[in-house]
Amino acid sequence: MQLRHVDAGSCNGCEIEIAQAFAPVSDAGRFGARLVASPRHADGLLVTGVVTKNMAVPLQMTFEATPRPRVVVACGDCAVSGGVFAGAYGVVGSVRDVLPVDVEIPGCPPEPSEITEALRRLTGR
Amino acid sequence: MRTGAELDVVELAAGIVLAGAVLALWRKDLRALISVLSLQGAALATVAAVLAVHDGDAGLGVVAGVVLLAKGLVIPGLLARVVRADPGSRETAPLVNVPASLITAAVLVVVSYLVAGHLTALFPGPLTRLAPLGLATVLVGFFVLVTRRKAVSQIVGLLLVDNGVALVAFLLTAGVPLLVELGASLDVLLVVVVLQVLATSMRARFGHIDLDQLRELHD
Amino acid sequence: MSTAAYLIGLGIASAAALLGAVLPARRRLLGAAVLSSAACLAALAGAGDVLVSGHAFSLHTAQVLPLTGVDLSLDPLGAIFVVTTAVVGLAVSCYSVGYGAHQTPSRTATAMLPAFLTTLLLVPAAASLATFMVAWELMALASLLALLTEHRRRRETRDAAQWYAVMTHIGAAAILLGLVLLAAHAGGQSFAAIAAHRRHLSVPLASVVFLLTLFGFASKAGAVPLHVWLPRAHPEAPSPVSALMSGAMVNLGIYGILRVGEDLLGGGELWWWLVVAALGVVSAVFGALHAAASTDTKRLLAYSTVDNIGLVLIGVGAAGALAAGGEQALAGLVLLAALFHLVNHALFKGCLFLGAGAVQHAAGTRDLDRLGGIARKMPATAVLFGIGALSISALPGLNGFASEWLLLEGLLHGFASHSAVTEAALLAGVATLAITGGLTATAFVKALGVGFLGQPRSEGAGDAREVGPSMLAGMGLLAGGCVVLGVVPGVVLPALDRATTAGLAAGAPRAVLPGLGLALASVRGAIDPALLVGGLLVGIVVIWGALRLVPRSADLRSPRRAAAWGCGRELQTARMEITATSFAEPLQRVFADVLRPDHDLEVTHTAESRYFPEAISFHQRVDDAIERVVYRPVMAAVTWWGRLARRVPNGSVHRYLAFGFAALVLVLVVLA
Repeated sequence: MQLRHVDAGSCNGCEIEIAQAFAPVSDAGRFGARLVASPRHADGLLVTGVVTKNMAVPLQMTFEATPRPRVVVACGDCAVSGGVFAGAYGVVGSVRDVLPVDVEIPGCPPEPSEITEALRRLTGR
Repeated sequence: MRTGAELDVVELAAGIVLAGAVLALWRKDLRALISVLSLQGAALATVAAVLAVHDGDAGLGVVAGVVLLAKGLVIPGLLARVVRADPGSRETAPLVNVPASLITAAVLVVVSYLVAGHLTALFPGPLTRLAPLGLATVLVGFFVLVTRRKAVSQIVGLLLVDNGVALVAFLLTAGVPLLVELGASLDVLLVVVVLQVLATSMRARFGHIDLDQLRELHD
Repeated sequence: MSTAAYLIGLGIASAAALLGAVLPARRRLLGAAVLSSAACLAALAGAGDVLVSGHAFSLHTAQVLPLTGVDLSLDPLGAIFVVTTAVVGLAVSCYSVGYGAHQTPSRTATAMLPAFLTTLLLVPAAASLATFMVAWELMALASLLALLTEHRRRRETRDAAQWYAVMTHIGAAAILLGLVLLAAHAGGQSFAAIAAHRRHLSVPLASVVFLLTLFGFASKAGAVPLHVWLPRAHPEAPSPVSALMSGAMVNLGIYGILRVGEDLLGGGELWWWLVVAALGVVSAVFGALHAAASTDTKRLLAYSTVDNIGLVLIGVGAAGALAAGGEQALAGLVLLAALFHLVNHALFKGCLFLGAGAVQHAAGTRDLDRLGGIARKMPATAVLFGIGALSISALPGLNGFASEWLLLEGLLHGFASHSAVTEAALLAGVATLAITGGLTATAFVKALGVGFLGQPRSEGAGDAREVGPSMLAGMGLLAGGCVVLGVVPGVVLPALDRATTAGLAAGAPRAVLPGLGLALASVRGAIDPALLVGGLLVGIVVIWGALRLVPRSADLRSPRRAAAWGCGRELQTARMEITATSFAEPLQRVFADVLRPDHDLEVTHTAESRYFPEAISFHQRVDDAIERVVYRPVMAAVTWWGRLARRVPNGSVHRYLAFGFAALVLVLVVLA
């Protein structure tokens, strides 16, 4: 399972946790999950943060550029529901408002173990 | 040349031609230069006349007359008019001073004697012996041309060269053809006329006739 | 028959030049082009007959040139060059009709192209010193004028013309000196007399003659370090002229080296040919590197000419060295490969120059950084340029592959020779062939990829329109030649074999077996490009058919169209494309010691704080390092000397008179 990470308007809390999820302690990589540099190489998107107006179109274009079949993982409260930014100006909405979401990881931010667990559900290992 | 007196006259006249050239180096007064030129013209005419009488050559006689007229009278007269328009003008500061010029002239005479050995060897005879005098006159005239600043001195230098050439021609070949001598004389005359016009307009424009000031013409 | 055809060709070409000058504006372009095409065909027939029959013809007239008359003689070696020139000339004549169509060229321009062609056809047939030098100088002058015809007011063009004029005349002076020395010792000025006398020449004299003529011919061929005129003149010349210069004129430098070294001097010493091979190695590597770094299409092609001439020189040098070592069979093979590469180079470089000219003609620029997207606007030109680019990159099935394969075979088999020095030279040649192969591919991936694919980077490139049929026909003729010689190289090899035998002083046995492919006669080695191409085509058809037959998933049956991935940015502009400069940047960095790129970074800060830049400008130039290191100091010294000399005549009449006086006295003293 190769994932392209898209920051749609995150506070970077989730990014730190994702980094930890792939660091030696949790090591999501050993379950077959990888972060890749281009949607062309990816099986899905890992979206963090609320979807801001500036990032809505790039997020959609990244989704379009991902070969099918593909999954979308919304990581963190903001991505799942808008979190504290719900209804704020400059915000389009949660990821679900823009793309079909397959997996949601709640938490502000979610812990590395929770991210790993969600990814294991995708990789099936 | 059988008669000793005729040879003496030619030797004397040729000597006067060279002496005139050296004199031109010595004197700074432009009027004196013109007198020297006149004297040289007369001496040259004498050489031609003696040779004409001796050979019974009428053409050479005419040449002698032309030389006397052009080089002895007309050209010096024209130059005198230029000088008269600017009285008191002297060759004040020649590029090489007079004593050094005279020493150089001595060296040039020696050089021409050395060189003329080849020329005299072509037609050995009493007259060709005198050829170095003509050659020396050419060199000294050229030297005047190089070292003197005034336009009049320059033309005097040019005329000295011309006289030297004429002398060599008379001595070596017993006279140049009439037509050539006429042409050369007319040429020199023309140069003098042009010079007169030029000197007049130069004086009108710059107030002097010093050639060294013409350096602005440089590219 | 061959004599008549060849002479008729020369005559028609001269007539074309004349007509180009006198016909009214509307007619002269077509008139000159039709006549020069006819001239090329006639010369092709004449020289082709010499090649096929193997009989040289010769001719002497006492008229045309005063004192000596004209000697013409065409042997198979010369005929190869005449044929090559005629083919390129035919394509160029055809092309020139369309090239000059939008704006009628001047009388000089129309006249100079056929005039240049005439001299190019004449040089290989010259058979005496006087005839050769006259033809050679006429060629230099005609090409110089032809170079100047299009943009003579442009500074770069004038510079290029000056460089060219100086280099070519220094070269011609060296050649003249060498040949006159030779003729003086031989006691006759016809090449036959000189060649007959070669056994009586002392080795030092022959070496001096060879080095002098090598200098001259190498400067015409564009060998490093005498190449400096070439990357200036070829880009600045009108494209038909560039094609003739690169496809035909530089070849004559190689012809001269062979004619003097092998024919007139009889092979000579081993070290001569090692010098030639060394020149070749340096030229090939230097040219290929600069071609990979250039961003100007025609400059790239010009440097690539230096590269290819280097390869030919390696072949010529190796052949000479092997022949001097007594290995006639191998020498014949290597020389054959070199001549074959020369012919191929004329074809694909001519095609490429004409293609670059078509692009410049349509897009108004030849800067790769401002081109792009040409393939969509000018598909036919793109295909023809592509064939040229693939040929020069030596891809199998095209002619560059055939000749480079032959050259490599020859060099590798040469290791059986018994001289360690020769083996070292061959090894250097093999290594050079390898490295230049890679660099050339890089250069032409850049030219094709950046120039023809992607999006247009300037308005001119966006507005480009396909060029007319005559221009395409010119390019198509040469591209067709590339394909034919690539698939069935065997058709020209017998002719080349005759030229090789004539080219080597000691003669050589047949190097290749008859047939359509490449099969070596003297050593083991064979390849059949036709089979190769056939196999490739069959493979493609099979795979394509298999893909059609295999049932596909729903997704594959209805393919999804999507925009190119642009990192999520909404606007994909041409500014985001890779440029020629950026493509070449890694190579430039690796070879910075040779290329010496010039960087110029200028940062303007805001008035308030120097931490905030207001504008940043960056310029990069890759100048010719040899020009900078070798030529600039010489030019500076000459200029300095000239300045010094200018102080002597300061305008004073007396000083000038003094010069005359001093000279007179000095002469008199010397005489006394």
